[in-house]
Amino acid sequence: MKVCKEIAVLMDSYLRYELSEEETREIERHLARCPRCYKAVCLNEPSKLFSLLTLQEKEEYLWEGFWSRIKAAIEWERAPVYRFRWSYRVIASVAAGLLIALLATFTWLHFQQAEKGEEPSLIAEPWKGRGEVVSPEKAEELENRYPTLEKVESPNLRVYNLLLEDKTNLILIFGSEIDL
Amino acid sequence: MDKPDKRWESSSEEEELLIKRCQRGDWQAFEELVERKRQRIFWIAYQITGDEDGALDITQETFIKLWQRIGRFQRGRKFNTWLYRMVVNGSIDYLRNKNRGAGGVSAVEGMAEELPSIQPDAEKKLLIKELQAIFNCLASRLPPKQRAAFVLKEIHGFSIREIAKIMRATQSTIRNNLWLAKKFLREQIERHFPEYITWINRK
Repeated sequence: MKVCKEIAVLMDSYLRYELSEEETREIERHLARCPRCYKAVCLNEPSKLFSLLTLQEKEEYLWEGFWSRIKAAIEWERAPVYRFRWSYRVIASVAAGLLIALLATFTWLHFQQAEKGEEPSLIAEPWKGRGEVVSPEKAEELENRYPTLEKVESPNLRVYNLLLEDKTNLILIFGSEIDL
Repeated sequence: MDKPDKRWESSSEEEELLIKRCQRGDWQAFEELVERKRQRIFWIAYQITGDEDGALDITQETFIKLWQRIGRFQRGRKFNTWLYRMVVNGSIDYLRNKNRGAGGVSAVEGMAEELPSIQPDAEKKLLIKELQAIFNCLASRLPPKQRAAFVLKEIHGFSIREIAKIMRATQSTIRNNLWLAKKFLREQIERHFPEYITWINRK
């Protein structure tokens, strides 16, 4: 294919990117004016066809809301530290609150359990353990508090059997004739 | 046939004024700068990534970075080189992170069958759409840096010196990248889309 002189001499070097910036610019200026030379260049180097892609214009709809999105993103990023601290505080407060509530629940349950554990078992077996002599008032209090408390009774003696929390027995003895 | 216009935009005085205003925190000036640059930024990102949504995200990210860093921009430096570096780096990172398993030879072959054969009197718009689709398909198999260099040189008309500055590489590295990209694309066009060569011949 016939091409203009200036292209014919420099085409190979141009396609191999061996020309100076000024020479390249000159050739490209010529190619922009001369369809025949541009066609020759494309036949020699088909990838030159892709240079046509620069002429595209993007549809306007693509840019709808583009500026407002950029502005919003910049404004959001402007105070990241403040926002981070604020959200950090909220998260930390909620977590602390939950932890406190959890701890309070566990403590309450523990005390409930402990309170239950302090109560003497009404079926303390066997009848052995350390013994203690109690006063008539204590005996009465025990009777009132635990009416079904295991006991052995004779006219002058009452023996109570309590199972303590540590699983040991406490034998409480009350005798009207025992001198405290 | 039209040859793409060479669009190496050096900062005009008006643009420098806009940059100064942006550095003082002027939103209106920044909006105008975005308006001026968004098409070019989008197309560079799109042609490097081949993904419209991705390119739009990169364009947005580039402008956000621009606003954050414009205060550090020093007078005397080339604003466009600085701006295009941001978009090229963003696009290369995007490509690296993206899973590109779908861009194999079979995809190229399948595409060649799907495309309508080009008519001698086909409208330029249709031709460009087809070329863009072919380019996206073929270039997806190029290493990101080769693709970026090719896009900047052959599509956007930057000089090798300018590309070397944008991509922070030596001119010989850029020449090498361009040569490899072009060689690959030429082979692929000849193999999968020979009708385009016939079409050029007939024009």
